[in-house]
Amino acid sequence: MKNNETNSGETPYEPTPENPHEPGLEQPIRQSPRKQKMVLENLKSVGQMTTAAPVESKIHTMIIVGQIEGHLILPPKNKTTKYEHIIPQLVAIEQNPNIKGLLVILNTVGGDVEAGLAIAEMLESLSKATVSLVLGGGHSIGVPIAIATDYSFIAETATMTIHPLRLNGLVIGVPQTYEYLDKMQDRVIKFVTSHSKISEERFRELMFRTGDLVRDIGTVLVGKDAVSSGLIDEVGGINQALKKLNELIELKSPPLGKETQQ
Amino acid sequence: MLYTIIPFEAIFDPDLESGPLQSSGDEVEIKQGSVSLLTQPLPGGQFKINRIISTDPQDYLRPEWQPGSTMSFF
Repeated sequence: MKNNETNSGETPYEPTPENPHEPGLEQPIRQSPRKQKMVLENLKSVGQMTTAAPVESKIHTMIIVGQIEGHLILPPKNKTTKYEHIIPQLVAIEQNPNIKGLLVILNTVGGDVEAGLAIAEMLESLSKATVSLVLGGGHSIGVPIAIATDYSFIAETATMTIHPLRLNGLVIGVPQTYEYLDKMQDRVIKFVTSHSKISEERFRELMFRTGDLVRDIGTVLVGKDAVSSGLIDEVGGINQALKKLNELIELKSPPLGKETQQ
Repeated sequence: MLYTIIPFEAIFDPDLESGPLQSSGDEVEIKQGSVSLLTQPLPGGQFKINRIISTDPQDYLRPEWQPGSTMSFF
């Protein structure tokens, strides 16, 4: 063991005699001597490397794909993200002091209104740093989820469809049904306009625009359009999203010891 | 109430329910600590992993949990 320890101190400084063919490019990836020593000390105290639980990530991620499933279980052919999976995860993230930030990745076609709004509200009220990234698509009820985080990104090619709510399976005939639909729609509009830079007039205009979609009313926002409309904060990918998340973590966490830096 | 771009006929199409891609009507969720694994039972008491549900990105890199791999409890 003693032998190992002295070795670990030396290797980062003299990598060539042991590994003469190693390309120079890989050098920056090497761990610092201090970190290597820490790993080694861990190894010593645990005795075995494989059985040790992997280090818990500071940043956790939540992937919202397919249909957001809420009150109604969808037929198995649909790819879904279930409300009962997401909500307990968010509670666990809020409670775990080791988790500093959450990256939400969206590629969703929409889904249950109340499940979507519940996830959005949970994200909005989470005390940890949160960043969302819309990849592929963040349509319909995916919109409030995307904007519920502290900062939002959209990939250049990703799209967001904004359209009115529709009733299906219910017989429209009583005025109460219209009222109910209107109320549900207002919940979505209110959440979106109060948590993003888009104004209510502009959002309603996008929602009821005709001629943009071939068979429907509404608007498709592609990457930059989502940013220019004020819905999303920035166009970017995983790199920018993680950078921003780390920035937000720094801002949210009080400067303690060196432990938080690690 | 659904708010989605997928037409309702497509979501609830009875012809699609037993498609070739996913015969996952009998999907079983297995808890492994804080992680949920969506699996498909195979004959012989084995389970094929279809999907991992976790918020820790490192969980997705664990070789024994790669989608398609099998696990058993015997």
